[in-house]
Amino acid sequence: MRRLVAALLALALLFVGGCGSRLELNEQAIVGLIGVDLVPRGGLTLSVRLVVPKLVHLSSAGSGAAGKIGTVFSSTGENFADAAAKLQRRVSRRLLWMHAGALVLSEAYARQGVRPTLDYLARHGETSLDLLIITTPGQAEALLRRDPVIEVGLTDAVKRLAKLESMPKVTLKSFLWALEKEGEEPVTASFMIDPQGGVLFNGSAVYRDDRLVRWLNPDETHALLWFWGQLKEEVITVPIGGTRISVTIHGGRSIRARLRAGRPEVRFKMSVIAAVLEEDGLLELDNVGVLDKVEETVAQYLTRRAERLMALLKREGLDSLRLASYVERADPRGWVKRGASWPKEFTQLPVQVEVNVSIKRTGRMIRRPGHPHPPQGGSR
Amino acid sequence: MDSYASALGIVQERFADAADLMLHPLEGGMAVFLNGLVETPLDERALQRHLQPQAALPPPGLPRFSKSLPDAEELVKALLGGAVVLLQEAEPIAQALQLQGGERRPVEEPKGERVVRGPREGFVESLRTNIALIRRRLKTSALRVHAYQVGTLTQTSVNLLWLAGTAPPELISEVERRLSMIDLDAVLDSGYVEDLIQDRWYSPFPQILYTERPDTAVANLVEGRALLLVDGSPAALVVPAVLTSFMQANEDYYDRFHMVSFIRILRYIFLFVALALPSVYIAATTFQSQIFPTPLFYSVAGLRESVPFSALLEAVLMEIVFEVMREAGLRLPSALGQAISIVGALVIGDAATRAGLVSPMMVIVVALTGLANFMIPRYNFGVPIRLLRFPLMLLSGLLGMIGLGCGLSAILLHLCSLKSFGVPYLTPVAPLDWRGLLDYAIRAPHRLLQRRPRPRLRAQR
Repeated sequence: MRRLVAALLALALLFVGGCGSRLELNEQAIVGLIGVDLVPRGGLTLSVRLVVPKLVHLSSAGSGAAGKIGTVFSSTGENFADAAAKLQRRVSRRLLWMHAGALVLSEAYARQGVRPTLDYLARHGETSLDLLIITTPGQAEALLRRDPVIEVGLTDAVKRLAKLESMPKVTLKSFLWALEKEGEEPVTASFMIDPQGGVLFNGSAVYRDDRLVRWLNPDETHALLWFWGQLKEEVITVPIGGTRISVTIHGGRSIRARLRAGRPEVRFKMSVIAAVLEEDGLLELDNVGVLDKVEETVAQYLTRRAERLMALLKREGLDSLRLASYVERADPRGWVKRGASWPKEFTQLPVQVEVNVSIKRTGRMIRRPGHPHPPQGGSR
Repeated sequence: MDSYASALGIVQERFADAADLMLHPLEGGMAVFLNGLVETPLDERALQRHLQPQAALPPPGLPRFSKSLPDAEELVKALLGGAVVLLQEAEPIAQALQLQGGERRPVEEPKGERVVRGPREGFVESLRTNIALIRRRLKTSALRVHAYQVGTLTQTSVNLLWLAGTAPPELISEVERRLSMIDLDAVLDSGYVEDLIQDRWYSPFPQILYTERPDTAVANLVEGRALLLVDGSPAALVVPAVLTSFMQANEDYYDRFHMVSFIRILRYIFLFVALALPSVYIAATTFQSQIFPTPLFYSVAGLRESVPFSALLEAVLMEIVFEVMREAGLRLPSALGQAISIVGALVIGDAATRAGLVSPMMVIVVALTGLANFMIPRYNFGVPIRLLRFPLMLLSGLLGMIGLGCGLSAILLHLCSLKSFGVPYLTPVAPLDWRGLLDYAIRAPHRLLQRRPRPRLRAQR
């Protein structure tokens, strides 16, 4: 008897609604990208790039519609929630946010603070927490309206580029984390409209709390990523003795913070592995002395680049380098006091940059007349 | 029954309207038999010899070639059993000669259990032939054969076979107990016996394995299981049977272990596919669409765009159509069967997608599910999987992944509680038996599998 009751109760569970909302795929509009622009008179414009499913297979079949699976809808409102509600009136299907690939913040909107939008997204929870956040120097809506050249959808273009290139991959989750964390400032990748079609990675945007304060160019962004330990590989070209040499570098970094006389100091060490890509044929790379010189030059270049970025961020009191957490770990008790005044203290933080470069490959060498060096390649 | 005349009278009275009753006069007696049930042609001289009083009779109680029949019931039974009954004036007045024979299907490869490598002999409908097939493979006197009769009208012979010293005695007594409780008029196939002696009649999962292959039967005997042979049925029953038994094909032991292990792992993966793929598809398209990678999601969304039905309805309809095609293909004459499955699969499937009634994705899902079902080596284990697919689809159509999880948990709980003749159904996984795992998802080389003394199948009460 008890079993029967249990079975019936379990069956009754089937008719309890609310556990999930059943929604057929063809009753939903898939949001690919979200864009937010500032309206000068107050409020914001929310744009979404929707994926039109009926075009997906047309475009992959190559019937001429390639790159046009998306369409942009936008709507203006007091805030994100208001604009989203108004947007829904325009779209005949229920907006499905969970597959959105990126949130694009326009410069104007980012400068006056993005917290409300992030608050909505974090609270509402329909987007993924892995939503990529990027900032654009122009209008977000204009960026959303670009049609990608290679990829089927613009979302793919943005996400694939973010995967391929070394850039700050800041998601909703990590942005919120940086907002939450004392002393740490968020940085997002920056994308702009590519005059050649599609979109282009052009550096990064540095925030103080939730407001955009300055841009970093791609080179500075790479320097920043070395601090984060997220740089995969980059190609740098450095001048050396009247000529120039291009090397591809990758490697690791270590950050040590310690207290000296009650004050924190940081040692930042890069261990770089380099491979020669191109030179004018004027360098005798098979000569150990020359090779040492090249290593030293590359190290100097990287040191200077890191120091320049340091100086720039220190001037503004922006710890975008995520050094705060190292200092906190070195002195957890002191951090209780230090945390609140970290932006100020950061401007005074001594950071010692140390770069260790080791050229592993010189590649095959081509003799240039008048510069006698053996033709065989070598690797160390 | 005291005289030749009265015995003959009994025969004539009991078989009054039996045109197949044959009376063959001999010198000093009569041979009586039912035409077609006995070995033909009858050796008249041999029969004649049995009419003489025999010098040395074997001790009573042991099976003999000739057996005296004390009363009318025994006489009738012997005739119906296919014996030649000799009647004479002297003692014994009536005796039965075990000369059963007649037309039977020859031994051939069982259609349901084909192998690429391995013996091609299969059981037939004749109990005696089947026992001989086993004896030929198992030359040990430890093989025990006990005979029972079930079915009040059919008087079907059921033989219980086991290896003394290998099969647990409590298993044998339990089988005997359950056999004795069978109360049916007709037992026409071992399926009747299976139904009546299994542990849980309401479970969709089979708890008794059947095989038409003598090699499989012998392997199970050697592993300490008992075998039930039912006269008139080529399917021998193996008890106890656990989930693993149904996931093993006989070829698993004949091929090299690498490939077999790989295939076995695939089998378990596709067991899940066969059970839950349509449900996962429903849940993923209507509830948890975030589980799709985004590019795949676009693709699925594009394919579902013009489908007028909900994913649940679409899946249930397609699965039903698939079952219909399967059943229809089975019932059709074999030459037409192939044609209809091609027509069904290609033409209907293609036309349905073109018409926008179902999405091509759904066709892939249904086809994959159907294919996965054929990965299950034992037909009767594929049946509950096919059946349980539908409630699972309903659950995931109503509650999404949560519903699917509930459904799968319910199935798992049921499997955990199931026992076959006291042996837990999920042995060797639960209860865990490390040595048993060597022959579970993988098949270890024979040198590792061979164990002496053989482990007993542990029954749990």
